[in-house]
Amino acid sequence: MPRDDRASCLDATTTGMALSVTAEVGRLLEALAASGQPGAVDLRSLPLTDADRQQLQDLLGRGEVRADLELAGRSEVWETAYPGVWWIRHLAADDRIASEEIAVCPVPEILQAHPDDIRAGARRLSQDLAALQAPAAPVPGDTNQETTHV
Amino acid sequence: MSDKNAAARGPVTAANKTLGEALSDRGVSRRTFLKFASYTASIMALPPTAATAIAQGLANARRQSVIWLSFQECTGCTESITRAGTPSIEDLIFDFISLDYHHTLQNASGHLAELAREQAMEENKGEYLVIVDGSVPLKDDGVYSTIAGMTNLQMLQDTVRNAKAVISVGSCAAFGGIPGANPNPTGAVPISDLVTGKPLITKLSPNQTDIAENARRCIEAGSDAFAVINTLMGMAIDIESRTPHIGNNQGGLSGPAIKPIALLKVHQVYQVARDHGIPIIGQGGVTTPNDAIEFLLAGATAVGVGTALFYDPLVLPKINRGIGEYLERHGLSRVSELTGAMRLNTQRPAQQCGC
Repeated sequence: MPRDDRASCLDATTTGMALSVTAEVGRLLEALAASGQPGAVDLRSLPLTDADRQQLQDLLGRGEVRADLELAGRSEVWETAYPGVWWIRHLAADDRIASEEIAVCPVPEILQAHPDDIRAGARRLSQDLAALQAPAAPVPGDTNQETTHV
Repeated sequence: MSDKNAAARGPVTAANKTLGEALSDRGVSRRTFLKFASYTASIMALPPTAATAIAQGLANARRQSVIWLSFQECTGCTESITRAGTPSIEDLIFDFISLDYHHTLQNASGHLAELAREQAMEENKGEYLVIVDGSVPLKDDGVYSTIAGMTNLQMLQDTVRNAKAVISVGSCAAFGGIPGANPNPTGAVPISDLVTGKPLITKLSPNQTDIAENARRCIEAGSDAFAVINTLMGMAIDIESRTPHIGNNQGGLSGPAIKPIALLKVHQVYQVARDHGIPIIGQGGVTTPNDAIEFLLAGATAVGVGTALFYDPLVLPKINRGIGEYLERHGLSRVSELTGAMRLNTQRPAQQCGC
C-alpha cells in the first residue's frame, strides 16, 4: 500500500487514546477541584490519530468561552463542556498546529494579564489621559484659533 | 517575566536588560513569549506545565557579563575566537554574553575603556566572568606590561576579586607560554599561580590517549578538582542529502550513550587523584540514582547531570532521594563512604572448556 494511503487509513482509525486522555483529564480535574492544583496534557506528545483527536473533542464538548489570539500566528483557546478544562491550540504562521494541550485550571495563563503588564498599562493609560486633557499648544501665526478666558 | 531584583540592580541599561525586557522593546509580547515556551516544552517532551517555568526563567535571564583581560600575549587567542563558527563571534557578543571589556573588540578606548571595566564589575558584583589570555610578568615589579598605568598583576587582582569564575585561555595564561619560556626575562607566570583564592576545576576530555597521565600533570600544575568527562566528538549523517546533520559537521556527544566510557575514565583518574585528595565530579549520561551511585563507586566525590535535565527538569531531587535510599539500605551514613568503594573483580585464569 502506498505510504500516503497508509497514513490516511491510520488517521481515520480510533485507537482508544481519546478515552485514556479523557480519563487523565478527569483525574486532573478532580485534583483541581480538591486542592486547586492545576495540570495539563500535551496532546502533541501523544500518538493521537485525526480520528482520536476528533473523538476527544466530541467527548469533551464545547463550553461557554472561546478566545482567539494573534501571537506570532493564530492561537485558539476554548473551554470545554467541563468548567476548568481548556483546549489550547497554537498555530504556526502557515496555520499548522504547532502545539496543542488540554489545560486544567480556572483560567489559562495565556489569557491572563500579567501584573507587570497591568502596571505598565495603568501607567500608559494615565499618560494618554494626561495628554488628552492637556490644552493644545497654540500654533504660531494661527489667527483663527479662539482663546477662551475663564 | 517579573523581576524581583529589578530595584537592586539599578537603572536598566541596554547591557543589563533581561531577555524579557529586550523582547518587550522589540514588540514581542509576554503572551507570544509564553506561546514560544509552550512550543519549546512540547518539542523537548517536557511536561506542559514546564512552559511557565521556561518562560519565567528565560524572561529573567540576563546576558552573562564577561571581562576579557589580555596580558603578555600575541592576540592569537582573540584571533581564534573571532573565527569561531558555532556560535559566531557576533552571535556570541550580541545574543549570549555581554562582553564588557576586551582591548581588541571593544569600541571604547582610554579612560572610557577602563570605566567600562569598573562599571561591569560594580553592576555585576560576584556574577561576572573573567577570561584571561596571556601570562603575567612579575619581575621588576611587573613593569614589562602595564595597562592604563596598572601592572598586569594589579589589574588581575583588582578584576578577579568579585568575579564568579576566572577562565585561562591559551597556553600563555594556562602555563606561561612563550613569554614564560627560558630564560623568562619578564618573570612571566600563569594565572593559576596568582589566582589561588578560587578552586581550579579542570575538565578532562575523553578524547585523549592517557587520561590518568594528563590528570597527574594537571595536579602538578595546580588543579584543585577534576570534572570527568567532557563530551565525545561524534557525527551523524543525513543519508538523503549525504551531508552531516550538524552544521559544524561534528559535535559533542553526551547522554546515556557515553556513560560506560565516562565511568572508566573516572575510575582511571581516581587512581591518580585519590593520593592527592583531589575530588572528581563524575559526569556523562547520569539520569538515575543508580547511575550517580556508579560514578561515586568509580571514584567521584560529586556527580554532574546535564542531558537528563532536558528530559526531566526535576530529576535532581529524584536522584538525591534515590542515593539516600541506597545509603539507608546499605547501612551507610555519608555519601563520601561510596567514593571509590568499587571492588574490582580479581582476574581468574581462563578455564578449559574440555571440548
